[in-house]
Amino acid sequence: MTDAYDARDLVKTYKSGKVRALDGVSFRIEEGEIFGLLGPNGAGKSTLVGLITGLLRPDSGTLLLHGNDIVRRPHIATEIVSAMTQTSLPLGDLTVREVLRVTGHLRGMTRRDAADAAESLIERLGIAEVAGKLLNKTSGGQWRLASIATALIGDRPILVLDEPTNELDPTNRRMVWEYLRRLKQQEGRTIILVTHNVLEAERVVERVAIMHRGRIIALGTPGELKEQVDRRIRLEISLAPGAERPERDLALLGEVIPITDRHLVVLVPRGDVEAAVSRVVHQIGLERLDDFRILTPSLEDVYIEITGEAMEEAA
Amino acid sequence: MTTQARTLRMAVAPTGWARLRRALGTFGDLFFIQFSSVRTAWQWIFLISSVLPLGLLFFLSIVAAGAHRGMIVYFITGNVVVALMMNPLFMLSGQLAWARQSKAFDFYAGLPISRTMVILAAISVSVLFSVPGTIFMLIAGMALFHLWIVPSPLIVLIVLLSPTALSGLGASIGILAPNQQVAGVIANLVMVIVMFLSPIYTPLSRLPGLLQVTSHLLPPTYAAAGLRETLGGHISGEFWLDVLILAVFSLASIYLVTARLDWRSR
Repeated sequence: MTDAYDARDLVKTYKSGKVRALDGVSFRIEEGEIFGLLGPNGAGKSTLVGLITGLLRPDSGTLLLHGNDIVRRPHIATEIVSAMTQTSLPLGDLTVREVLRVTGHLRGMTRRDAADAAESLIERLGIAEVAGKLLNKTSGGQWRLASIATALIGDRPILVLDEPTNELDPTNRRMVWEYLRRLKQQEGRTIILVTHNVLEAERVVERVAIMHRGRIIALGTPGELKEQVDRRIRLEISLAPGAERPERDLALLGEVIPITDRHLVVLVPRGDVEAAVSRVVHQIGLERLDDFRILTPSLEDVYIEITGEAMEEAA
Repeated sequence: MTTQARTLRMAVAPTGWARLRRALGTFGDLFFIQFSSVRTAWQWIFLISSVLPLGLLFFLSIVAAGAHRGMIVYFITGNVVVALMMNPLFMLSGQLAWARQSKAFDFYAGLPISRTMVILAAISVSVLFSVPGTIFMLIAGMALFHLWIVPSPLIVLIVLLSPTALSGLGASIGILAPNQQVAGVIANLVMVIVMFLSPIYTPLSRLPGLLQVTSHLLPPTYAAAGLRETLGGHISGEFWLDVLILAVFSLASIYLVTARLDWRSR
């Protein structure tokens, strides 16, 4: 595998150095990888997106895109990368179809190819009914899908998508994630996802960087990151109405975290899960429970724990 | 296309006719985008760009009733020049200020196109939208002063070059102003200054001594002089000098604005 990106010690400041948006960021993204970029607001994600799309220049550090120095030659990024950012497109007075055709042509496609690709994307992303509508007149979700299609047209090997599923209904969200997964599998495109929606991102991302205050504070596969945090299994228990809370039995399973009178979470060491389940079934008894679930830590748990720790340290 | 092939394609950039064809295609797309953003508001653009010169024209037709033919030509051409100044100063500055404010330039900067093309497209649309107001102002001036003159077809050169020459000023305001509102205020201020520092309503000799010198630095001086020649029935060598100077202002405008608009360095 070759590197799509190789970033070393990227520093970017604003306001004459008073605001340090990126503070020595280093990472590598492999070709054909789906890479997640997570972090709270103000973590430096948008600045990093600006750098990897060639829109911003770092104060220092190196950034290679397929071996090309895009700090010195940022225009190379325009041939290899396409991005969907949070900023509005200056194409609001064009119809969705025109937006796609014009963008495809500006990215170097012939007019015929751009028109064909536009129709294909309109169909695949389910926006046929708004294809003739001005982009400015579309709803939030339709606008989002049109923006995704705009990023996709032109056949760029690297896609950068900033919050692609915001404002989408659950059906369209699932469709977008599935589509991105197919793009990676069938076309080997490298996809960089910037998102707050950690739970959804977990389904598609292969590696994740968690950013906080201009630094990458965790980097790895979701599995690797989960290893770094609390590895205990979550036993979520909902007691039946009127059932007595089995304090003593539960305490034997692990650390008990009460959520409400009837709902509680027990953190059980990985090796004790089987015994814990047996104890719940046989000693507490299923008749005293409304619901009972076993959960491994999600990427969201990891994200909250890591960023929470970072915030505490900063405080 | 693989990434390697793409990088190779960049190394073998189109040359000659292919490059020109690509550039024209890009310009066409950008012109279409810019045109679309104002096509729904052309009536307002026309109205706003006509109100001030039309008001001035009425005022002059009242206070300077009975003026001789030479002065009337000054009034008519002066108003046409004011109409030609409106779009590059107001529309262009507003459009570019908004593009910066809304980060719309990020979209263009992410495409394999040059910023010169984006600026050229914006200027071209601004020039195109100057034409109806100019024709209207010419006809209105002739009707108000009852002086019907058939202009030389060379008037087209002045009508196209004058707003282009001023577009640098409008584009600079748009790029340097912190937001669209401030750009509007500055454009108003610049409009008034340029209008009254140029000999567009009166002969150059009637301006105060210092202004006679500084007026040579302002494109409206040459726009007004060129227009007067096209209405005078005789095209002299001075007309071509005016055209040349307006062309130099236009090229300098485009060059300076393009050089200043560094959309990747924020």
